[in-house]
Amino acid sequence: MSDSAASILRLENVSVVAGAKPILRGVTLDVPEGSVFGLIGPSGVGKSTLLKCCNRLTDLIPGLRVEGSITFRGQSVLGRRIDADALRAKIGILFQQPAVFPRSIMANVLFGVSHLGSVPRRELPMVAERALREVALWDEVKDRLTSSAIYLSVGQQQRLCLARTLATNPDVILMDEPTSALDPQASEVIEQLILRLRGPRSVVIVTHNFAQARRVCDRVARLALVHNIGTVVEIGNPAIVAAATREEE
Amino acid sequence: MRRRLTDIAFRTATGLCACVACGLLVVIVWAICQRGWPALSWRFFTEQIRLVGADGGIFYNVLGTGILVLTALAVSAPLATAIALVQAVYLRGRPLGAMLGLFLQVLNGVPSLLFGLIGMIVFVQALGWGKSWLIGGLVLGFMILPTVCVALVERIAALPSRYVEAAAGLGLRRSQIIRSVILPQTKGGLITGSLLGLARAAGETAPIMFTATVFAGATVPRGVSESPVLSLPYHIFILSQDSFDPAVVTKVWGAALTLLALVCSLSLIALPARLKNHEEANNV
Ligand SMILES: Nc1ncnc2c1ncn2[C@@H]1O[C@H](COP(=O)(O)OP(=O)(O)OP(=O)(O)O)[C@@H](O)[C@H]1O
Ligand SMILES: [Mg+2]
Repeated sequence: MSDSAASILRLENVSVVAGAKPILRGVTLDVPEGSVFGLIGPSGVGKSTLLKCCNRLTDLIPGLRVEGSITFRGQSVLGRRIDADALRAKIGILFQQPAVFPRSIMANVLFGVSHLGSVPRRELPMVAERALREVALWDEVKDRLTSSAIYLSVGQQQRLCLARTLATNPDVILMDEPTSALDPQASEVIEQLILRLRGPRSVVIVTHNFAQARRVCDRVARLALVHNIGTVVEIGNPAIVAAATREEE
Repeated sequence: MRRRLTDIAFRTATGLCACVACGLLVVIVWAICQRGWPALSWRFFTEQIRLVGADGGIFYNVLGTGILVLTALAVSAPLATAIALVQAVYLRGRPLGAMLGLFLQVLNGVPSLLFGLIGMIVFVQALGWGKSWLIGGLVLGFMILPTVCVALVERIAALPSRYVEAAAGLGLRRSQIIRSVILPQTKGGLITGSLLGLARAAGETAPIMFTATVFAGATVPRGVSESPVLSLPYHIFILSQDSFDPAVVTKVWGAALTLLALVCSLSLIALPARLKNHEEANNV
């Protein structure tokens, strides 16, 4: 991935304050379109918070203030007049713990897209099948699409959540430690999926695991606490950033 | 050894307390059953009162209490849902939301008699409706509003934030999140709260005696103004005050038993829904 590729997400001098406590300060980074961009750093440095800034999920947390500039395809993300709901339909998110709803598998896959009204009703089953095939879950669940999703294994649930996001056809997918609740095999499946998403979609992924960052990321930003406030201290090739971190430790 | 003794003492004490509570309930139920059972018959439930309670049955009293309770449900459920959503969703983490919670607590502390008096002043006298089942339902509905609200607010607050975040992250509007995530997953709170409230509303006399109910002479209400109903608690209240006729006393215990059964069956109706909700909550 060359540095000249157009950036799909650009953060400039982003700061986050919770009440009176600064969490992040002066974060500046570019996510090139079609790439997998990693965020690494110690626990509590503000990786999850930074990720939620990108699609304004921070709006849901009372008392959290986000300053600076974030642009998605050149359009401002922050600001009162921006339609945050429409933005989130374009920038999906996957959490560490899969949050499946106590409904059928089918209803879960279509949960987002059926509410957005962007696809005609009769095409919804096709959308569901395509999304489930994309996350390699179709063969495992095609015979029980109407049974409850809460009995799936955690790895299957995580893929179901990814399918649910893919069904809304987002340009960017934010992932917050998507494999840390999974066993090695399920993690491997998710990593393969991330590599397949790259290109048509862009991914921003938080990970604790340097090896994983090296396997899936094109670029990584390393966050660290400076004067007890999180900030980006290094951006670059995953192998080099990981090696530099090792030396520091 | 010491720790073991403390543990045994603690377990014994808690067990004793639980036994006292259950024992009290058993004694009350037993006393009412024993005295009221002889009064129960087909005629008791299908006829209207005659001879000032000494003969006939309590058909219209059961009907009247049913009408009052259902009206109270129709008033309290939508209002409580709206207030709970404002408090726990729209005003979450804001001082105004906390104030709304405080307001509900104060409302909960208002004695039921005052609800009855206010209902009488506003509806019966100022608006000139006369005694009416609708006023009784409104007053009871407002009276149980805090109970229903608090139960629902607690459920909403306990809903793991990841569900709301996941739905928001898919681009759903807030109203869609409320309809598709928050309300379906917290309806157990609405059911539990409504049951607690309605069980209380069914047995209250003070809020309805000036506003909605009479002792005799009412049947099925045909309109809103000047259309009171009979009711079980008021019937029991009046007859138990000044009756020494043994025939009446048995019938009063029969009415008490009916009221008790009505309240218990309210809980039973919702049991399947609550169990289902419980199961889902444990599996997610
Ligand atoms: N609503 C909030 N109010 C106050 N402080 C908060 C709030 N949310 C997060 N924080 C603080 O912000 C800091 C960053 O939290 P965040 O969850 O973003 O870290 P993280 O890098 O994702 O950590 P982890 O790797 O453990 O997930 C933490 O110190 C946390 O205590
Ligand atoms: Mg985190």
